[in-house]
Amino acid sequence: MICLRFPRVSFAIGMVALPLLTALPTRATEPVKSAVAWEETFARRQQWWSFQPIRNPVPPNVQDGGWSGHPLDRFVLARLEEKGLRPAPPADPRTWLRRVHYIITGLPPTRADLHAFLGDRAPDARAKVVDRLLASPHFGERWARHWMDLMRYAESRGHEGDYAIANVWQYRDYLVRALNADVPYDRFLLEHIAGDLLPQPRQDPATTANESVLATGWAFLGEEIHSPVDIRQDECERIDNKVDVFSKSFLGLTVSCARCHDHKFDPISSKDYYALTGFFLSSSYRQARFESMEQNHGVALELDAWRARYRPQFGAAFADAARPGLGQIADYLIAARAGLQDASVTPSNRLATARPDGLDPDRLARWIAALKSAAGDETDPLHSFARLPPLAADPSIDIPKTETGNSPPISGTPGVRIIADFSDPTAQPWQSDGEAFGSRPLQPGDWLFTTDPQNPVAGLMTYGAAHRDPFWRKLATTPGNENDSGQLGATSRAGQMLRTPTVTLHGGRLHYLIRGQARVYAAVDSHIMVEGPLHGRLLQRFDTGAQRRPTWVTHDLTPYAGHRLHIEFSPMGDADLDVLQVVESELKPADPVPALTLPKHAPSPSGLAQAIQWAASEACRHLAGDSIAGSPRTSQCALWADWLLRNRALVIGQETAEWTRISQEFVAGCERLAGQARWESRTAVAMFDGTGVDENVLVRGKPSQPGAIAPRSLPSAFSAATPLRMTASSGRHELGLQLVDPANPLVARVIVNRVWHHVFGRGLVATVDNFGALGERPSHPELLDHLAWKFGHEDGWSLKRLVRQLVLSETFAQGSRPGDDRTEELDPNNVLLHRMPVRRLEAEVIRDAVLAVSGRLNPTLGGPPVPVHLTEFVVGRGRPDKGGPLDGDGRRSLYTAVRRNFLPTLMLTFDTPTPFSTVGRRNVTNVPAQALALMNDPLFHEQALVWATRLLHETPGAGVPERLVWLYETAYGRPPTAEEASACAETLAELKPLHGDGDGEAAVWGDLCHALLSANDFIYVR
Amino acid sequence: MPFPPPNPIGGMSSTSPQSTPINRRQALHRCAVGFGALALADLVARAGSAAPGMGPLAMRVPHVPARARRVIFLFMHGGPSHVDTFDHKPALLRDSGKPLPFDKPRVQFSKTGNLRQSPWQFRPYGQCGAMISDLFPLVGAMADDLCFIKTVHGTNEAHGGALLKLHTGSDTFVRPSIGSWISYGLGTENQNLPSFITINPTLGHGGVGNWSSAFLPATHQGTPIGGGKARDEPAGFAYLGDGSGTDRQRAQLDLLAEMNRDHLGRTGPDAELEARIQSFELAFKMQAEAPGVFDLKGETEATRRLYGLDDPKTAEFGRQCLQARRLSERGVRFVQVTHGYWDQHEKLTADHGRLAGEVDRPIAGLLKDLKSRGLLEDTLVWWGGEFGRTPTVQGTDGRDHHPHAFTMWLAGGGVKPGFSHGVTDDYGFYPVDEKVHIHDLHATILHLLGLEHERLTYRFGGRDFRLTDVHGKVVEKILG
Repeated sequence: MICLRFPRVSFAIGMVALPLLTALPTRATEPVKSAVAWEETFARRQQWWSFQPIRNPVPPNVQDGGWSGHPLDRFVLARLEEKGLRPAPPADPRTWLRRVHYIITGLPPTRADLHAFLGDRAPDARAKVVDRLLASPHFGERWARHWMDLMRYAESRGHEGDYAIANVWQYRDYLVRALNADVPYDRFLLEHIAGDLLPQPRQDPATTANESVLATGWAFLGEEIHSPVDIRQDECERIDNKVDVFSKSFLGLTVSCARCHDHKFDPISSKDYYALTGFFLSSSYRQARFESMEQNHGVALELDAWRARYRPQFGAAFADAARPGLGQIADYLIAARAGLQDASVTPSNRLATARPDGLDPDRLARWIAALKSAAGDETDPLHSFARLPPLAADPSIDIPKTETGNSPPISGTPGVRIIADFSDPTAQPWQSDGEAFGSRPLQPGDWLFTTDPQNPVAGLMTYGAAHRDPFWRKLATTPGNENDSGQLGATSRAGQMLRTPTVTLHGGRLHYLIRGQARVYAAVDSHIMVEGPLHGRLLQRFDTGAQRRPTWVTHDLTPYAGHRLHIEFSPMGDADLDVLQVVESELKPADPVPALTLPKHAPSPSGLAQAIQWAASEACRHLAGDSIAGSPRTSQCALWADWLLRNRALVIGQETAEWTRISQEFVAGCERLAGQARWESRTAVAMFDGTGVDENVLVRGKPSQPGAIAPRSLPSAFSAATPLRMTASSGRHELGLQLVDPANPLVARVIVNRVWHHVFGRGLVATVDNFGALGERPSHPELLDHLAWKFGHEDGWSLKRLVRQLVLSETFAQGSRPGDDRTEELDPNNVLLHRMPVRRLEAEVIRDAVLAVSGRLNPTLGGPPVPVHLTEFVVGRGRPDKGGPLDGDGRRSLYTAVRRNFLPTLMLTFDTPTPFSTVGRRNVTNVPAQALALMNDPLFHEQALVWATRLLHETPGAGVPERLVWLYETAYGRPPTAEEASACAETLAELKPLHGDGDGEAAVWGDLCHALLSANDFIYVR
Repeated sequence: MPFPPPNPIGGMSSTSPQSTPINRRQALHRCAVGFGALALADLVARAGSAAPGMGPLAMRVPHVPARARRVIFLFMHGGPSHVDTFDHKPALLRDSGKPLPFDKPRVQFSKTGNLRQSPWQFRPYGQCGAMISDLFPLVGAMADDLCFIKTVHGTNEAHGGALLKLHTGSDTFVRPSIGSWISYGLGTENQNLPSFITINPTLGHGGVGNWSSAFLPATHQGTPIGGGKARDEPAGFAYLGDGSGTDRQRAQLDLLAEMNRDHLGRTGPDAELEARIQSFELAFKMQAEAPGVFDLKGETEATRRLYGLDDPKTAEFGRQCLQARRLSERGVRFVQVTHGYWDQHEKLTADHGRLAGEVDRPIAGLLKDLKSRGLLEDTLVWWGGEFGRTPTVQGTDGRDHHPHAFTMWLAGGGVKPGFSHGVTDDYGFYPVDEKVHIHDLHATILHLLGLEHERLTYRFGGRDFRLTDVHGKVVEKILG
């Protein structure tokens, strides 16, 4: 083997050279033999600088006290003076202006900006510029893009089909708004971790839309594979990606190294890794109705109160009206039975039959009809009576006080495992997205209301269940809102979903006790991209028909035995849906028996009629009272009370005026509330809190080898002092609070360093995503702590104040030429900041600047992405049907669609990162392909011509020198030098004859403009 | 073994307007060319050492002596059946119709039935006597140049995962393609062309993920050509321009060169800015050279026939193979040609027959052509699919995906010719000896190119990534 003397190749300005083809760095890995050894190793590694508390160092003394009074500058100058170096002379005002514009807004200064600044002699002229730029909405656009690099932002799921992630651009717009509003960074981070769980989410004051929940969408911006063969392994990969993004972005640590083994260099154990995965396993994906959720939650609370207020009134009114007729129930039953059984009874002689008993013939006819129907419906309370044998003996009376109720039949049955039991409201936490299933499961005896203004009372719940509330049937998504890709998206489930706790399947045969129509999604291993040949069975539809009794339906998930899942129910169309129980068992349980059966020994008809009359009277008494829910005979009572309310015509001749008055008042209130509800909403990707799941440490990262449980927690390097106390569910809120606790040494340092990186081109810690042992040590540790302390303790976590502080420093105001050659020799990589670096603009900024300069820039903020301009080089499965215009509508690059498999060629050429994990520091390459792009990308040709046309329009009759000044000021923020002017003039003269006669003046100028847009002066900032 | 110097850039005539008398900027331009040429001479002298001006595509010294300098990968998309092509199994004929006498794998893509014989005859070829089916008579005739690996196996049952595994070593998340790794490890021999080109790549099954550079610098990304459809016109790269307005562009570039030098004067010495001045000249040359690469007019009738361009059945793949040779010849490190779709869950007899008929002659032609030009010495030709097919029947005339054992072959580039490595069981279901995982194959290919798979790393986000992740073993026995 030849000796390797491997060169270092620098890809970037201001970037340290990356070692190529070298083995792991000199620091050897430390094998960890045992738990004791790990503890020792851990303790040693925790001494690493980044885990130490943030101090508030005093700015050092400097020799040249006159350079700057800014504390930041004193830290910088002190390091320079240590080496005997001097800062570079300040940049000229034009260079400073252009620099600060690009840093803060990513757009060049206009000529008006330039002249205003040059004309402003006030001492705070720079501060005024900075404040204006920080107040510009373009600040949010510029810095949102930085954040999107961390969150591997994309609008499709990559892999093969590149399926769209529905409505994900709402997250991008959230970022722009949050950054423009200068939401404190600790709050911003808390929203990312637990924006859906905050007691007081941030709301748009105008629309009440929930802003905070949008932040949680970051978790779902990764790739998703459809039809993975090993669905559990696939989940591990997805979660790994989330942990990776979480730890790098927020903590500057590479925790995902610890997936298969304890970290080789940092105080991060494998257990720490799995402790973080638990937070993600405990939360699921949803499309959140962020615009309507707060408003509708308020409406739902009012609706509950309104119904509670009217329920006793309805009860009392009914009881008053029914009381007189209750005593005749038995008589009617007997008479109706006679009428029904005697085939000779005709309508005319039925009257005669009825009259002796003092019964009303019309009402009797209704009783006969009721019995007829009850005979065929075993859920009808009159069923037993209606099915009595014709010749039953009369005398033996046995009042059936203890019939089997409708209590769930399953509890305690061997071989049956209950996963969710909504008939028992205390059996599991209520986890329902939106108001469609109300605020809790209903119990027997709870009143049911309709949306029919003529007949607002439907009856009573006769069993306990999660019940679809008809009030919310009109919920819809705003036209244009996207559905989820794949089979999950066939119907919008947003804000109308009920979920079970998370469990691990045993045999895999699930049975649901439901009534109505249900769309069921079995979220096995959090797989959402249901499409293609496998896993279609995760989604099922069930319909139990028109009957009023719940029945069992079976969802065969046997291929997923041993996998983790929860079940999500959502309604279909206008259909009813009650969900009572979810169980797992080999055999389907028997359907619940009807509430009232014949007593063991056949009673006489009159005895049973008496019993019915008694039960109905009891029920009526309860209806008049407060509530029957919760009483010992709840289910019996509820059945009869429900029966009474539904069959008011049997005991009451016609509705009383009182009932009608109450109805009208009640309906008016409901309609008022319906008017306040927000029926349409857009939706956005968000987390939904689920069951707290603690993952096992997977030995060597293999799902097939689960080891010890790793309780959810921040890595122990942080949480050792204050163990996380989970209140309920995922614990993300607690995690978020601990993350942004000022005692956490990394969060403030990491973000301050990121901002520094973007402002100065190189982080104080150059490895912005890695503050661990494999990262670089800070070049100015005290300065980093100074900034982090001030950020967290004095400036209220304000990113704008931080940026302002940095760009108003003398360090930032330096020129890019070193003061002398010696300085460059002693600090060749400019680590000590002896000058400002020369930096190539990012891909997006180059394109935005072209649009800004040409005058084509469309400053519209936010909204759906502009489709990628399709060329013959944009190929592949999932290629968008429709391409966008070449100039992307003139919108900033931020708004161009980010389809993973169809990233815009120009962006890739200039190093926009492939969105698959956190990239805090982009590659900056310099390859001929970039020159080719500048020379030949049709956008440059087009915009050069637009710019030239604008030039001729704005400088009518002007000479070449004046026009050159206009062009140079527009593009470079300065006039041309004499040499440049003459070179340009020469080129113009040269170009003119090369154009056909048909080409106008604009075409010739267009060629010159194109050259100006390709020049280093344009794509670099000094 | 040091590399010979990279192809000198040049041979392109300047397209400056002839009528215009030489002016100041043109003088400067010449100067710039002179500067470029000097820089290049310097590079040649220091071949392999740091070349800040050339960026990440600069040629680099391999870790170990290289046996191959470039790769042509003939990718048979869909999964050609190993037991019907190169892995002869007499027992399959004997026991056809009987159940497999041992357990099938726990995870299967779909259910298959009993053993099923190959519809094709096998016969011995060449000195080595390799048994090859009648699907590949012309490739068979080249058997003494081929090195079969009969025990390749992967981990993924589905096309998408298997393709990504084959191309990137990972069937789950975005990782650089093998072509990107090789470009990163060795740089390019021709700055005027991309270092990694994929012809007619498949659009599905991982799509761009199969030629993506992922976290490696974007320049190592595969350049796709002929996006999946047959095309007669010369293929091209993005941003090559249409050839019109070249003289105007020359004028623009002259101005640019001057402006950029002025800019450099204002900023102070800066390697990247210097490099960018050069890169415009390189780009200008690239757009002049590239179209010629794809123009097959210069090829002789004999060559065209060799590749089967005279037969509509073989013309498309033949043209792609010929283009692959032309690109390799010009120093492109990694050329992939994709052919499909070999996914015969049914109609195996008809469709494998048709597909083999499309590629047999072009592949044999490519091998012969490379050999006669002396290119096979240091060009590694690699043939195979993302998996094989089950020896058991699917339906009546189909075979299912089979990643547990399948055949690939290599030729040239330092592998043992006329050799077969690894043995599968009587039915070609599982390997019984000398298993070769995809990672091992990757390690071996890198090794042939002079790259040690454990040392070809890239630091990303605090971790050193490798093509072979934490796996891979060089298959020493196939090295020539």
